[in-house]
Amino acid sequence: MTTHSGHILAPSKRLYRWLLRAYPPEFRQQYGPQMTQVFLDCCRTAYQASGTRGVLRLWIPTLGDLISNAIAEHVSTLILKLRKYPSLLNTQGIAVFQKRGDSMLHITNGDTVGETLRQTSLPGNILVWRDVLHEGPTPAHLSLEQMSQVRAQFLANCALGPYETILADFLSRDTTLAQFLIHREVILWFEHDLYDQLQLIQILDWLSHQKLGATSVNLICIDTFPGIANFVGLGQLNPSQLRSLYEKRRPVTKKEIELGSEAWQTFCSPDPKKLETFLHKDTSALPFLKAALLRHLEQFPALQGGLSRTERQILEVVASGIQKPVEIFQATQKKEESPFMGDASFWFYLSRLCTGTNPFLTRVDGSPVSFPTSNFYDATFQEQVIVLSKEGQQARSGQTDWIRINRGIDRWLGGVHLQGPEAAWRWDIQQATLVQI
Amino acid sequence: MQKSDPETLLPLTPAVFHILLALVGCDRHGYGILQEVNDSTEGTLHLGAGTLYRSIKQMLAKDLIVEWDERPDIELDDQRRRYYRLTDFGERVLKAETERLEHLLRIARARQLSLRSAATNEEGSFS
Repeated sequence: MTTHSGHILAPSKRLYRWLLRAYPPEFRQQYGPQMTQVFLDCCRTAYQASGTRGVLRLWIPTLGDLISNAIAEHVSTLILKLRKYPSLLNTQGIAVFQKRGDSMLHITNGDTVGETLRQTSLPGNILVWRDVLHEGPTPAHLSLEQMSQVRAQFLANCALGPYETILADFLSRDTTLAQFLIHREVILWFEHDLYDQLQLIQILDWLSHQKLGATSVNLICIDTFPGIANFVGLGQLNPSQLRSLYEKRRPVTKKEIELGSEAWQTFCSPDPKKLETFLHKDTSALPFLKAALLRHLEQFPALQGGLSRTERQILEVVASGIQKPVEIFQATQKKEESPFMGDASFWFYLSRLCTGTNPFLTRVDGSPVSFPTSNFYDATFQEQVIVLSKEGQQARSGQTDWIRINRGIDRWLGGVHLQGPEAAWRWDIQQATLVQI
Repeated sequence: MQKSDPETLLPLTPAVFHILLALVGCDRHGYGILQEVNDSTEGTLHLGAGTLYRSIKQMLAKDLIVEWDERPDIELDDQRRRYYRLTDFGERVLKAETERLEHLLRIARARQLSLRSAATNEEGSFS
């Protein structure tokens, strides 16, 4: 067949490869050779069945397939690029807000603070970091771009948005950060809790690999604010209060950058004992770091019962008679020295306790507990009455272990992947230390 | 945190549905998938290479399939070919889509039955 078919297969292959230029370069590079191979296989089959005429007939649907998919792929690529450059597309979910002047770059933790900053008289661009680094994987030795891909995949798997949209947000964020040298000043606006401290050390680690040039990098990091009795975060402040902090900014020191970088790399290590050892060092250059990272270690499954501190607090709250989801969230937050977890993350913890082979929580009527799929909480969700199951009651009295009765664990905590019938690391509540199992 | 709910990815396109089906219990390369889809649909669904690889790209991004390094038979196989394997999540999505289609089918059958019985009654009234 090869000798006779060559007159039609060889030019068909050449033409097909030439037509692949209609696809975006990235797609062509990744899938072009495979598509050509598949097309050639189809040509051979067509030739075997109907000779030259069969190959020519194959070209008709092939051209349609090629043109329609090339257009569709260009549209997808264009949407992704537009999302990457927010000045070209003003949509919700873009991490960067363009603002008058570009002399300053304000980097902060979330959208609430970003919006308040926009209402201040401070000029410059605002970059919202927007990642719940205390949940999901942060494997070691990844570039910022690679880490963004891992994080986007994790958040998409949590149904917090389509992968491509989340990745585009992160890439937009990373692009803005990479251009920090065009700004006269970069200001890092963070608070003391775990959510913020992890973002801060990720940024400091990235900065540790950069030459700062003429750009000054300043830090505002607080755990209290005059006049606010129960300070939780920067999101509580109004524009004028937030503006007043600007005057108190101070340059980030080399020591802070080095400590932040070491903390981030330790957090991303697959060996959590390194993090525990790190906490015995002098971390006073970043005064809120130690407490925040210690809180992270408390999220490891406990030696006593196999639950994280958040999950144990949920059981305590429900056992105390607080039984509606939003009230459980609020009461659990009150048990934190420095609340760090948003409601979206919290529902995952609550839902985990409501599912599994032997759930610890159940609806009072025995039907499955429902959870919101968006920021809107309807009455059906809010009015559910959640109670301890029999196993949950046993867990409260230390008679049962979550991991053992629910067929193992599959959870990332920073760079540590706890997976299998038993967690490789547990948190000993009594000794306040990690234990290798 | 948990994987996204399979329901959020539904409905699947016919191409994605048939590619997932083709990978049940068997890793396949691109052309192998096309052949399987062609056989299982008795030639009623022809996937082009463009549709196949755009679908594969999306399915990889959504963790429905993974690229698989191991080849069924290295001796017989072309090293350049890439094989794909169904993930557990992909299998859950496939099941969810199958259930959705079964549900639609039940509705359609029930409607056909009621139409048929209505027609029978009308016929009956004329006789």
